Amino acid sequence: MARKLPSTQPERSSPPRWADWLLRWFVAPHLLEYLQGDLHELFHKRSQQVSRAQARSEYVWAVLQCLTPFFHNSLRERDQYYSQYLKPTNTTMLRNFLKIAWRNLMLNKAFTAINMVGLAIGLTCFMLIAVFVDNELSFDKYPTDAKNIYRVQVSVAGNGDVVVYPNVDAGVGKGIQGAFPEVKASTRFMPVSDYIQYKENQFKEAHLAFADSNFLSLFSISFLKGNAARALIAPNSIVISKAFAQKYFGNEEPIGKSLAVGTQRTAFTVTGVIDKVPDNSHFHTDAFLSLSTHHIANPTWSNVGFYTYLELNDKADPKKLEAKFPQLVAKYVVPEVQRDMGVSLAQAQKSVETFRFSLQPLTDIHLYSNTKYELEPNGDIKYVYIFSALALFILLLACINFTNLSTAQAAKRSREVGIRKVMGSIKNQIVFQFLTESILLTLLAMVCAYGLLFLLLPYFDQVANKQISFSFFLSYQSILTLFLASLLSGILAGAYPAFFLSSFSIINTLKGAFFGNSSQKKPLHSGLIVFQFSISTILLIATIVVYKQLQYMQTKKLGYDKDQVIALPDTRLLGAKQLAFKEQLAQNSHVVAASLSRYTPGGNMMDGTQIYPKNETSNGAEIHANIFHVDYDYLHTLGIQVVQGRNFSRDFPTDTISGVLINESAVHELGWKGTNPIGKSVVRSGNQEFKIIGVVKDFNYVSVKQKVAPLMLLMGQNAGGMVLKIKTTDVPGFLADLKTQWEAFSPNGPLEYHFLDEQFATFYASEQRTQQLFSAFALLAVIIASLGLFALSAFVIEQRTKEIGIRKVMGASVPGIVQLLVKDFVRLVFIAVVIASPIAWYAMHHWLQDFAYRIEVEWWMLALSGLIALTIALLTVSYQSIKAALMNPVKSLRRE
Amino acid sequence: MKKTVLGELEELVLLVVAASTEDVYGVPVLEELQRQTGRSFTISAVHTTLYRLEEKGFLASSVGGATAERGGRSKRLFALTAEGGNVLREIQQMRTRLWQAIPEGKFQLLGL
Repeated sequence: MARKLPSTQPERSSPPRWADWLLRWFVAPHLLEYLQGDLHELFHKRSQQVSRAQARSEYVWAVLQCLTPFFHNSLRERDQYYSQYLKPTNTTMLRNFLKIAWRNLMLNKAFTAINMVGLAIGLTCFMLIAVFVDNELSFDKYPTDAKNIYRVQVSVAGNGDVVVYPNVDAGVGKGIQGAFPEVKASTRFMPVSDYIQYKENQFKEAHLAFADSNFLSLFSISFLKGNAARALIAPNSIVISKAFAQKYFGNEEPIGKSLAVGTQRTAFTVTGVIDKVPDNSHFHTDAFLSLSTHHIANPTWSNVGFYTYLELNDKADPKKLEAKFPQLVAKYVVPEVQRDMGVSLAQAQKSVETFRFSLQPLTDIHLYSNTKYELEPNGDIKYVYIFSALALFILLLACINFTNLSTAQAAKRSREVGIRKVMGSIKNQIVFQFLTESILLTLLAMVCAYGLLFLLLPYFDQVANKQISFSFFLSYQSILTLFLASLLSGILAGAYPAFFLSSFSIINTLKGAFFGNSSQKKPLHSGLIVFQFSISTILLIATIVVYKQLQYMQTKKLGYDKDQVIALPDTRLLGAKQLAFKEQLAQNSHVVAASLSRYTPGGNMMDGTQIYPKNETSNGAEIHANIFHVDYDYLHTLGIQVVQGRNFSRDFPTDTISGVLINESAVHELGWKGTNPIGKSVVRSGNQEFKIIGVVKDFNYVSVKQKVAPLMLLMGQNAGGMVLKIKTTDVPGFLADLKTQWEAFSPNGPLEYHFLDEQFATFYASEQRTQQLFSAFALLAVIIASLGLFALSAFVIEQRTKEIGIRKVMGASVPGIVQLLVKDFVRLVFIAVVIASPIAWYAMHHWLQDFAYRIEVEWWMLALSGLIALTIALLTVSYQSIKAALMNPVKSLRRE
Repeated sequence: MKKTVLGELEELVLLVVAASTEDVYGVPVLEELQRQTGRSFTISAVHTTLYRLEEKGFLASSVGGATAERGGRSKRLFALTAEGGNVLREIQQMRTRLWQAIPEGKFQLLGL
């Protein structure tokens, strides 16, 4: 309505436009007219009494007062009482859509159920994977300054292979901090495992670490008790987690108490209690010991062992900083190498040519760093991508079911669309109505998904090695995510049917002529079925390949005997009586052999050094070799073969000082292939020289995922562990006996042991998880695709009931009819298999490249997957077909 | 039928409508209320109360004319119904009974 107000005061007389808009939007239309009229009248009066601003603010205030349910609620019964000619608002139309959608869903209960189960599975997968991805991406983001924290790594190249160590020498952190002002702080961390004792409680703790005093504050790990700033300054201080305190002290106050650490029972005073290291951290340490305990007078640069973290200031560029590191190598590392190896300056410079310090962003460690010496097994960004893609695919498969089934039913719905159009419905409304139907369905599926999540979460946690509780899914972010995912998949699933159905012309739909020939919409159905089965087949192939690779790794000949081999990592608790213990065990009839060594294949213990062949002018290649310290019986105990030369022997006293056994890989890398290495010498750091007395066959001492690297076996030193080869059918009996014998030596702590083959199995935990996840995905994909196929075939066959009846009357046989019905579907699945095979072959071939020892993707794996997919499709379709073919034609023809 | 209880504001609004000589709408009711009680009310509260009273059958409404100040919007005019008159009278009688129940001399004791 036009305002008839004095034009001299146009501003003065207009209430704020937005407030009017708000009022119009909020207040029910039948109340608006009078309310707004009164408000305007009041405003007009007030604007003559008080200032314009005052009047306007009073108006706004009055409008805000009107935002009550009373004025908004237009759905009350009195609506009808007040106005019989209300225009339907959006909400009333929506109510109608919902009602119709609900009725339609209820009308086809079987289709609804199939769609809903599919979508619920899809959404569940989506959520579980979303949570997995979220968790993986959240790693190491908890420190306040996480984005500025970097781990110093060192990479050494040798013989075409680059070894990256995520840890560096003691002097590196402080040295870098001193040299470059953009480094705000440096801290070091050194994991250990040792015995801890308090009164009668003694346990071996696997997750201990020596750390600098600023380590905990750099990682923002907050203290429950004790002074965070000072806790790790004094030597022999220990900061423990809450659970750790509970384990040793129960309800006693831990602060100030003393814990005995190690076999020497060194006293450490508890100076602080932390809650725990967050789950999404790349280390999980139960207790931090002050690194100041080990006084390092002259911290060196050329070794490794200290995980070192730097905090840069906000403006620092890590790339530029990295570029400056070579000057430090020249300044510190070269002189040390020169001194240790006893070589000339030029030689030392040459040997550190490939020695590079680099910075690894803290937040990338979990997903991008994959060195051999990580603190804990890391995740892999590749799997994050793969699993995200798979989750989306599964959801997509479920959406396809809906699309397929809805369009298949188009004939049934076309009359409805026609009538609606005749009654004045515009296209948008029909689109919206069908979308409502699919969204309603997905929202119902979402509710089911929550049920499934609740059931599946424990298994998922186990497979994905996570600790995610159901309460996570009740947080508003999760609910919102799932809601949005449901909404989007509802729109995705419903979009095509909605536009397809709403595009029918009125005349045709009402005549019913439009669907006389159903071949028109076949390409889409066929395409979608092919897509679904392609995905399923790819997943089946992936499952088979991963399974075979895993099996291959687990059964591969390792070059040593891992069955019935027991490692006792801590015989050092016996002190000087170790040898006596070994001798006594060797007498035992069940013990085949015993060897004093802490080094076992697949164990944590490994030394390493740079070595080069002596007196070789042509080939002075320096290589990296790992070191095992062993004794005379080691090879015998583990069944390792000597291929050249001899084992260590008591007949040659020099063996203990300068004898060395090397593996074939070392021979190869030292450039001695084709020559006789026996009698040659190698020099290691510290200018120590060793004479080769024998060559052992390569054995996999790390994991089959990696190639066997050069290895040196040296005599004696650093015993403290034992390896036993036993031969008994009564393993528990033997272990009990072992314990008694152990106790008889009055050791400093309890007996620890593990079987080599069990430890070996843990290498492949991540591959096992991958395999389990792939199997689960493949299973789900096949289920969803089959459900869709089942419903679609049921529908198509129902449409052809009359045709089948007539065919039977004309003399068609049951097998003939079944063949007729099944043929089309099976052909589609066959096409899917043909499409899927090369894709899967390529992807799996790529995946296998990560393994040093691997299988090839063979044709039978593709064929088997194809066969499985075809069989499943055949079974799915043939049930319906046979039912239709067996039907009495009298009945089917009488139907109308 | 359940006896209808009136709230204070409802009673006041009903009285204001009853006291006016012709049909009234929101703004005059609001102004009269403010003048009589010296308290301030919002138009939202007045409207809510008017509609409630109508729902209870104490007021009847009709659509009235528009003015320029209202931006051309019509008024909803309210008038007292017989039932509304009854309920006001009942309230007054109930009040009178209560007044009469106050013992004599009580106010004097309180110094009033």
